[in-house]
Amino acid sequence: MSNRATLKPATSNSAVPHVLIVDDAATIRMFYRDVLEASGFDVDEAFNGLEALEKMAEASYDLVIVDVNMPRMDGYTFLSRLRCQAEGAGIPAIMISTEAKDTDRQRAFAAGANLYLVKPVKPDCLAHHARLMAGQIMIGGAA
Amino acid sequence: MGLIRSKLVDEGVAAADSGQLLDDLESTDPAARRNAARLLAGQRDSVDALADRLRVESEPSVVETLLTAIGRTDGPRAVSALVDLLRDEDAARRNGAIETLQEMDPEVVLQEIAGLLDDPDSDVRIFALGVLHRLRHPSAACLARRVIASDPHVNVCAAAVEVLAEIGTPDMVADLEAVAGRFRTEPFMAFAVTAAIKRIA
Repeated sequence: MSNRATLKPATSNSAVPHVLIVDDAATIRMFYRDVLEASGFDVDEAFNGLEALEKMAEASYDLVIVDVNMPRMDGYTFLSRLRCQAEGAGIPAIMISTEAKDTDRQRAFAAGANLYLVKPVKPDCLAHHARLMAGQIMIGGAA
Repeated sequence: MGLIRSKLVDEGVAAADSGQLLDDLESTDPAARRNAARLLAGQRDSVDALADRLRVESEPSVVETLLTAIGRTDGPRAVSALVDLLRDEDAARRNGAIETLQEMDPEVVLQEIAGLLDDPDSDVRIFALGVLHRLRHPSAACLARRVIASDPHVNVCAAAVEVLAEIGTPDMVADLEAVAGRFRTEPFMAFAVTAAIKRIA
């Protein structure tokens, strides 16, 4: 766990937290978007890791939510590359996957994830963790 | 264009010693491995060697060339070599195999993939549905329909619903409603089914 990225939320310098959803499944992106917009997030989407890196170069984000299995560039590769960039090193990242083995979690943290959730994620759980990771709430109280 | 490319590949293999190319697949130089894979593309006799290299290759550009080389070979052996990779621990190799299989002969791929929908590993069943998603085979939707009717795993059924949202037909609406009922405690399933029905009804 020692190589987990250090959290540095609120990089977009905006009152509205900005999140990037990275998943090749359109329905999942729509679901996360609905949940996160209802929680006060400004939402962007990317189809895979490559598209996500392009978006990250163009805008600032307070949080990234990323799947594992995607075409062209998977979630592990995306996070590893993100963590090598000055702008992306501290952005909180939640990895959400169908894979639930301990080795999957370890791989996610080694790549740079700060939190690993297993699909299907309940809306309340997603909203809570997203707000927590983006610095919108503190553990044990409001922000 | 395909004929020209095949001719060039044949000439390349003829010009080079195929034994040397197989040796080059194990070279310590990634450029040599990449070049060997490129020249062995489409050669059925080389599928096993290409697949063996692919299982241990760590250089992304060589992995991509190996996948392309096997994908251009087609036939049951090539498909089987890529299907084996759906169990690979490496996500890039696994996802590359899924993308390559989607571009191969749908008839051959479907025969291999159909059996994986009953695999005891739910992740493998999900990856098999990932292949079906863009396979362009008339039976793909029927297989996904069978999955939502019987698979006990919520994520496998969600993957099948995603397939049906793309290639399902209006007569599958009742099956979609049934799977939403089967997983009624999962808000995502209700959301996914509603979205799928909106698209296909």
